[in-house]
Amino acid sequence: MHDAARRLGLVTIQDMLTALIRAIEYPPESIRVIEVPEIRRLGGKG
Amino acid sequence: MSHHIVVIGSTGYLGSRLIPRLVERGHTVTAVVRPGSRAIAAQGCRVVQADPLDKASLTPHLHAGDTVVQLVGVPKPAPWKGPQFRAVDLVAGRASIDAAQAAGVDHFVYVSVAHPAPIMKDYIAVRRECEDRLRLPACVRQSSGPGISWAPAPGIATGVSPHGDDTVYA
Repeated sequence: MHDAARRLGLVTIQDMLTALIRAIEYPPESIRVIEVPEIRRLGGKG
Repeated sequence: MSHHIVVIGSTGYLGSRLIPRLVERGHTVTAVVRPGSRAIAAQGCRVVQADPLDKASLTPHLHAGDTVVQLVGVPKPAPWKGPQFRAVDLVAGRASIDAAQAAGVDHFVYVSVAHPAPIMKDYIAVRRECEDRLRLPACVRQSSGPGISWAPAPGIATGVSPHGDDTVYA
């Protein structure tokens, strides 16, 4: 299940919330797109 | 640094979990709720009522300096919900983007979708259209000159949880 989730690009709710908070607290100069690998990385740091 | 954050779609799967964390971190949060949903709004935030599908209803609640987080979407997205995506996700996305631009909002956070599941083509098409709207020159901050101060930060992922509360599609 875990491997399948990763293949499908699933992330955990905790990863999502951490990434959203990061996006909110660090506004970009113009446009920033946070892709799945970064969402996972940020969540891992959370 | 404390931010003033307006969450549109504040009572849903992501919004209801995000707001308490933002409040806990010292941010000032305004939750936009539909009429009748005030009772289920998160604690610790200011609550305002507006129609998330209507720019004119949203605009008075948005201001220069705000960060707007747009989380409106059809619950539990599925391939057969194309008409709902266009009626809710797309209309709400357009309304909030246009309202934020009209209000001179500084920062717009949009939850989009990664594209690993072609079966969700209607959902992807709707999210992509909103991303394209955010990329319009009128929506993007122009250097540091005065007068134009709107910077969207689209991207991240979508908020579907078909497997309970620990995973979301991205």
